[in-house]
Order: sequence, then structure tokens, then C-alpha cells
Amino acid sequence: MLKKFSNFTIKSLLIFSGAFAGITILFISIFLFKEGLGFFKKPAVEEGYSLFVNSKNKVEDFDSKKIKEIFDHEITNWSELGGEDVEILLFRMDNIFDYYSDEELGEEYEFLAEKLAEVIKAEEGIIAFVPHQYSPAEYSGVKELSVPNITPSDFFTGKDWLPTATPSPLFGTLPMLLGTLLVSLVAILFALPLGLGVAIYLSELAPEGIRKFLKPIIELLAGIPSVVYGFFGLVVLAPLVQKTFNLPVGETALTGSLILAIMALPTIISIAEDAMRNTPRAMKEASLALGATHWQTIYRVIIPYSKSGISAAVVLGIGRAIGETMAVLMVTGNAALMPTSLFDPVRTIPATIAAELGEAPSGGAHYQALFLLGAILFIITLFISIAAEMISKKKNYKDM
Amino acid sequence: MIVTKNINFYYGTFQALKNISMTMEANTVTAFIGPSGCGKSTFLRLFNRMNDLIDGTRLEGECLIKGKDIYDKSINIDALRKDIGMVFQKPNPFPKSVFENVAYGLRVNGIKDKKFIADKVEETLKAAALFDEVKDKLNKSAFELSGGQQQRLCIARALAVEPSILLMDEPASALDPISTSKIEELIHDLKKKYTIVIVTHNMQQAARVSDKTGFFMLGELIEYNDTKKMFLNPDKEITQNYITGRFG
Amino acid sequence: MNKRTKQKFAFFFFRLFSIIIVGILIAILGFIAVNGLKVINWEFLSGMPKEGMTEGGIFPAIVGTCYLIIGSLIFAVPLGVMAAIYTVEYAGNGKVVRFIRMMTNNLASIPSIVFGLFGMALFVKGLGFGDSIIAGSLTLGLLTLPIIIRTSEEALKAVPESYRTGSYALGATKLQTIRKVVFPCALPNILTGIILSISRVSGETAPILFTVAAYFLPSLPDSIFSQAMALPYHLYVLATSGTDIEASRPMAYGTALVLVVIVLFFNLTATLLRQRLSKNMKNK
Ligand SMILES: Nc1ncnc2c1ncn2[C@@H]1O[C@H](COP(=O)(O)OP(=O)(O)OP(=O)(O)O)[C@@H](O)[C@H]1O
Ligand SMILES: [Mg+2]
Repeated sequence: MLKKFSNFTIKSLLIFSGAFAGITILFISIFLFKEGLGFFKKPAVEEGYSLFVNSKNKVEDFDSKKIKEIFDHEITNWSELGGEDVEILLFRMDNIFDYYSDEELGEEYEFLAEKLAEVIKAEEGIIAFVPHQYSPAEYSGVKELSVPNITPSDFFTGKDWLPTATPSPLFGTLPMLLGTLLVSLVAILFALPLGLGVAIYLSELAPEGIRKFLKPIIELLAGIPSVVYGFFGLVVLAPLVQKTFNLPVGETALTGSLILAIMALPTIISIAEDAMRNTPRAMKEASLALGATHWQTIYRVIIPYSKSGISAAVVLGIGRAIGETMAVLMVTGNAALMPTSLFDPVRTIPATIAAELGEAPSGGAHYQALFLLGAILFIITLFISIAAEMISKKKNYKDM
Repeated sequence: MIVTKNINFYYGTFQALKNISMTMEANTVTAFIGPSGCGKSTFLRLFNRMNDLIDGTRLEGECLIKGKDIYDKSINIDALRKDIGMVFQKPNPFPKSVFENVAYGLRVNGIKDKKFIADKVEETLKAAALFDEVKDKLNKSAFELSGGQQQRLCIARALAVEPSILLMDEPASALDPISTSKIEELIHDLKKKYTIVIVTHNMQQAARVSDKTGFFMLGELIEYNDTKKMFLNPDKEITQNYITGRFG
Repeated sequence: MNKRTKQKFAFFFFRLFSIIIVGILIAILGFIAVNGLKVINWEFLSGMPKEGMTEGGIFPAIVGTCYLIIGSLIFAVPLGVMAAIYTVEYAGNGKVVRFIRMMTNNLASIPSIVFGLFGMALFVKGLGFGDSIIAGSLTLGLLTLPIIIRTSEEALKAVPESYRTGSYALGATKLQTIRKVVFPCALPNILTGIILSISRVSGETAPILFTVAAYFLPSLPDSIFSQAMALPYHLYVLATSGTDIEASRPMAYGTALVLVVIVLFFNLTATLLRQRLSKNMKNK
């Protein structure tokens, strides 16, 4: 009886564990998207605040970018936005004291909304940034601006990432998307020839003794924590890059790519080597028997034969590079600007999350934007891993 | 053409060939027969130095081809292998098109002239009695051919680089009877131009195609004689037993 | 160029590349070892950070990392091993297994920062653990789950089928067979997976950034719900955002060395153990 019961418990536990392992990844994706997708429901103006203008103001077409430029004094006249030729007057809450004294606003600021309305009515060029609790919306002569929510196209194609700007933060992720791609692809460009070379050496040339020595070395390279790579990059590589190319700073896209290249090497080497070792002996012998040199055999038979394995290695290497966080965070300089050259600082998606999530207020637009970035990263790497699996399963007899 | 003197060959500590001396004439077909594991393939692969690829092997004795010691330091292995074609037990075309398979040997030997390559491919496919069957499939993957066609493709591939010797290790063992007889016919034709050494487990095949036959057992060359004599009236009883199948 | 020369040329580069790889490893490890050894002494290993982390030791970070190792193993090992037993011994070779395997493979490819996000959303915020050892351990546990599942699966599969049939022949039930025969036999190999996980857990920074790691704590953590310092995060802080980065450089070197030694020690142990075991398997 007891035995039956314990058998049953153990079995259920086993099934539960299996199921858990199977669904963890779904669970992760649900959580990321749950937090992330709320982002597109967030108003473009900081939560809890609204913008007001004089009701005579005809300008209708606002978005976060224009608001930011207004408050940065880059747009100074309503005519620039298609309105009357009136100078723009910026108004934040503390400006109220330029118009009224403390007493006039009441002990608990109970007259504040009313007085705000008066100011807005009087100043034709005003734009006021006001918290909801003092909203003057019910008074005449005042118009509340309706700013559309942030759209996915703003998010993916916006070139400015200013998540803490007030009153209207900007969440354009294009610089990070491009930065991530740039750093990862250049890293693979460095790592691929080196990695393939070592893989060829290991699978075709190295005597057994050297192979036995080199394999653990490569595993060690894979084992070094990314923060240590980052540290090494920061204190050795960055100054080196700075000096070599005579740059103002050493923390650049190039530095990131170099570190990532080193980090992607073990993945590339071990997968490519496996693929090449799997080339049938008969293929190799057939080639040699025709008078091909070993090298001709390698690049005319072995590499084409292991093409799918090598492609999988490249894809996984890119995946590793795209997802890498700490090392990149420490060596790329993290400027959220559109990357223009390898010698400029850049910022990647993972680095952005790591650098900003700590400061983003939980549940706010910034926080959700970071989760959305995480979700994007998740999808990219998932896609890459599935692609790699499909590539390496594919037999490439036909298309050579 | 091929002369071996007192060959001993070792895989690590295991001795696979014991004191083998043998002479193979030009433009003849020599067959190697013997029970599995007796060293036929090992011996055959000595002639184009294929055994060099295996770690831990060791060779004693001399192997002369056209009077030159092929294990001499000055020998250019690629050139040697170009001159000695090999056909393997299982058809092993490259995962390339039919055309590229035949052209491969030309390309790796530095020939770039497209016209020459195209002509040569056609010529050798004809010589291998394959051209009519594949002339519409030249750009298809070699894996789309039947097993017998693949094996003839491998023969064509070997012929394209104009070797003088052709080594065949059980070239028909993976094939059906019709493909087998095609290959045997082919061997018969090729004899005019090439020196052929063939390993086979099929006694009739050895009898049909070869001029001389060597019988191996446990790494030793037991008897080497004209094929006719070998099959009708061998010198050794043990050969007789093996050929007539009275042997385990 | 003739083909022999081309070959010499190409092979020269491959040899050179291999030397470069070894060179890179030596450069990184050598650099950290040379600079780190200068600061490492008993006080460094057993003391608290002092003077805005420019002096003193890294004891709380070492302790924190140990807690995280233990915490994540407590969670991931039973779960991972049981999941592996389920897929290998029970689930056969059907769709379920393929699904689980695909999912765990993909889980292994998810960047560690994403685990950090998830851990923050679920454990820190969702379950209300706050920044705590338990939240960090669970997050890291998830991260190592695929490693443990994969190595355990391989270990179980490597147990010869004859052991199982032998046990059944004696009248043992499936569960008894697994418990008495299969599992003990697979244990050494499962162990390599666990050791590998330890190495991974001790080196990861991104997953603990928002789930447990503290910049500086004046005392050791007193419960699983308190924050903790951890070696990798401590190195990150010292390297990038200490009060005085130049002055804390020596501390950073020391921390990096300790971290590398711990991580690579476990890594190497796992590798060697696996080599040894697979040799034994062959000899059987
Ligand atoms: N790569 C190798 N390493 C070690 N021993 C080998 C190797 N290849 C062959 N041998 C051994 O050498 C002996 C001769 O092998 P070989 O392949 O030459 O036999 P064979 O006569 O061609 O047999 P079969 O008719 O089965 O092809 C065998 O005992 C075999 O086990
Ligand atoms: Mg053989």
C-alpha cells in the first residue's frame, strides 16, 4: 500500500519534472511579453502628466519627438509646427510662481488648477506640463493635447533612445538593433577564419597528442566568465585599440567585436571540427587517390561536405555574440547613437537592458521598453537556435 | 610494372602482411583473393600509399613501380597517386554533380581549360561505358545515379587523370549481377591500356577477368600463378580448398 | 603557385591560428594571474571590503557566490535529473521527448540577460521575493537546467541495456531497476554535469544583476531573502563603477583571479572527469 503510494508519487514527480523542463521556455516567453507588450499601451507623455495649450492653438499633430524638441528649445515657434506665428512658451509646474504667490494658490493648492487655467488662457503661445491632480481641463480656454501612444514603428525605427527625457521620453531602438548587429557580425568576421583554421588544424592536421592538449584549452576559453572577458577587454584591449588607431576613447564597436570574436571562437571551433570529422573517410581517400593534395582535399571535399555543420557553427556563433551582455557592456562605450563607424562607441540590446533595468521604475514605460527589448532578444536567439538546428540536420548532397 | 620485395606491414603491433614478394606485369589484370581480413586491401593500398593516412602503421621491404621505389623520400605522393588510380569497394562519388566528379581529378591537377575538361569528361565517361546513361544528367548530383552507375562513375573519375595503373578493391561487391557484368566487361576493355590489380571475393569473377591470381591468407601470399593454372590445377592444396569452397 | 606550395602556405596559417588561440588564452589568464597574485593573501580572501572597496577583501562576495551555487543546485539538480530520468526511462522516443529535448536545447541558447529579466519579473516582483538569494538561485537554477538535463540524459543512455534487462530478469520493478541499477551506474557522469553547472553559476553576472546582487553589503547575508554580493558582479562593480576606479584596480585583479580560478577549476574538473569516465566505459 505504502509502497504503491510512494511509487505513484515518484512517478508523478518524474512526469512533473519532464513537463517543467518542456514548458520553462514558454513560461519565460509569456512573462517577457506580458511585461513588454504593455509598452504600446503607454501614453507618449510621462505617466500621470498631461500637456495643455491655449484653446486658440490650432496645432494638432503632435508626437513624442516633437514634444521633446519643443522642450529642448529646438522648436521655438508654433509656426514651425504649422500653427500661428507665436513664440512657444514652455511652462512647467514651478513656473506658476512667476505668476502667483503661494497664498493665492491656497493652502493645499486648492486653487492651483483654476490659476493654471488662467495662465494658459492668457498666454497664447504656452505649452504646459501638468500632473493630473491639478488638471485645468475643465476650465474654458484650455485645450488638453492628445498625444498618440508610442507605435511599434516608432519603437523599431526611431533613432533616439532617451528613456528618461521629460515630459516625453523617446524609445527609438534602431541604434541598439544596428549596434547589436554591427558588433556581432564584425565579431564573426574575425572569428570565422580563425575558428575554421583551428577546426581544420584540429580535425585534419594535429597529431593526437596536440589535439588532446588543444581541445581542453578551447573548452577553457569557453569557460572563462564573460565578466572576466569584459574586464580584460576594458583594461587591456580598449587602451590598445585606442592607441593603435589613435582614437579619443578605446571603448568602441571594434573593441566589442574583438572580445566577442574571442568568445565566439570555442563555439565555432568545436562545432565546425565535429562536422569536418564526420566527413566519411571514403570521400577523403577518393580525393587523395586522384592526386589531390591534402589541402585540396580539405577545401574541395571536406569543407563542402561539412558545409551544413560549418554554417550551423557560424549561426550559433552569431547567436552567442548577439546575446552576450557583460563583456559588451564593459567595452563598447554604450553610447545609444546610430553606429557610423567601427571606431565609435555603440550600444547593444543586452547591454542596454543590463545598464538601465536597475534604474527603470517598475511597471513604467521605460521598464516595459526594456522587457520588450528582452523579448526581441529572446526571439532573435530562439530563431537562431532553431535555424542552426535545421541547418545542421539538413543533408547537403544535392546543392553542391 | 609493380614489384614488391619482402614486404612486412604493421598496424601498430599487429602484423598484417608477412614477407610478400610479387611481380605484376604491365597491361595485365592481377586478381587478389583470400579470406576476409587476410590483408588484400592492405597490400593493394600500399601501391598508392593510401596506408600512409593511417596513424601508427609501419612498412618494411621495398615496393617498386616502374622501377622506382615509391616509398623513397624524393617521391611526390600526389603525382604518384595521380598515376595510380583507385576504385573503392563501395561507390564513393563526391557530393557533386556527375560532371564535376569526373572533372575533379583534372581540376586538382591544375587543368583549367574548360574545353579540354569537357572533352575529357565525355571521353572517360564513354570509356567507362556510362556516357549514354548519364548524358542528360551531367549536372545532376552523382547521388541520383544507381549504385552500379555510381561505381562506373568512380571508375571514370579514376580514368580521367590518365593513370597507368588501376587498383580496384572489390569494385563489384556492392552491386547487382547486371552492374557487375558491366564492370567486368569494362575491366576487360581497360586491360589494353592499363595495368589492373583487382581484389575480389568472387572466384568466378577472378577467373573471368584476371590473367594472374594471388591467393592470400593471414597476411601471407600462399600462391601466385596464372589464373588458369590456379583454378584448374593449383600448386598448393590449401589453394584448391579455398577456391572450391571447402574451406571455412 | 604550385599545389604543394599552396598547401604549405595554408597549413602554415592553420598552425599559426592554433598557436594564436593558445596565445590568447595564455594572455588572458597570464595577465589576470600576474596582476591578481600581487593582491591575493589571506586578508584579501577572508576580509570585508574597506575604504570604498579600494582595500580589504572580498569575503562577502565569495560567500555570496557559494550561497548561489548551493541554492541553484538544490533547485536544478533534482528537477533536471528527474526530467532526464523521465525522458530517457519513461517517455520512450515519441513526440513528447522530442518536444522536451527541443525546448531544453532552445533554453540553453537563451542569453543569460533574458534569464535575468525573467527572474526579475517572476521571482523578484511576481512572487515578491525581492532582490534575494532565493530569487538569484532560482534564476541561475533555470539557467543550468539544460546543462544538467543534457548530461544526465547522456549518462542514463550510456548505461548498457543489458543492466536493465538483467535487473528485470531478477524480478525487479522498473522503479527499483532505475534506483538500484541505472542511477548508481549513471551517477558519475551526472556528476560531471553538476560540476559544469557549478562552474557556470559561479561565473554568470547578467542573471544576478537584478535578482540578488548587491553593490556593497556591510555584513554577510542572514537569510535566503537577503541580498548578497557575488564574485562576478563584484568584479563588474570594481571594474566599472567603484567609488574610485583607479584605486580599486588591484582589488579588481584579485577578484578576477579568484573568480577565474573557481570557474576554471570546476570546468577543468568536469572535463577531466568526463574524459576519464569515457575511457573507463570503453575499457569495459
Ligand atoms: N586501420 C586499421 N587499423 C588496424 N588494423 C587494421 C586496419 N585495417 C585493417 N586492419 C587489420 O589488418 C588485417 C588485414 O585487413 P585488410 O583490410 O587488408 O583485409 P582484407 O583482406 O581486405 O579483408 P576483406 O576481404 O574483409 O576486405 C585485418 O586483420 C584487419 O583487422
Ligand atoms: Mg578489403
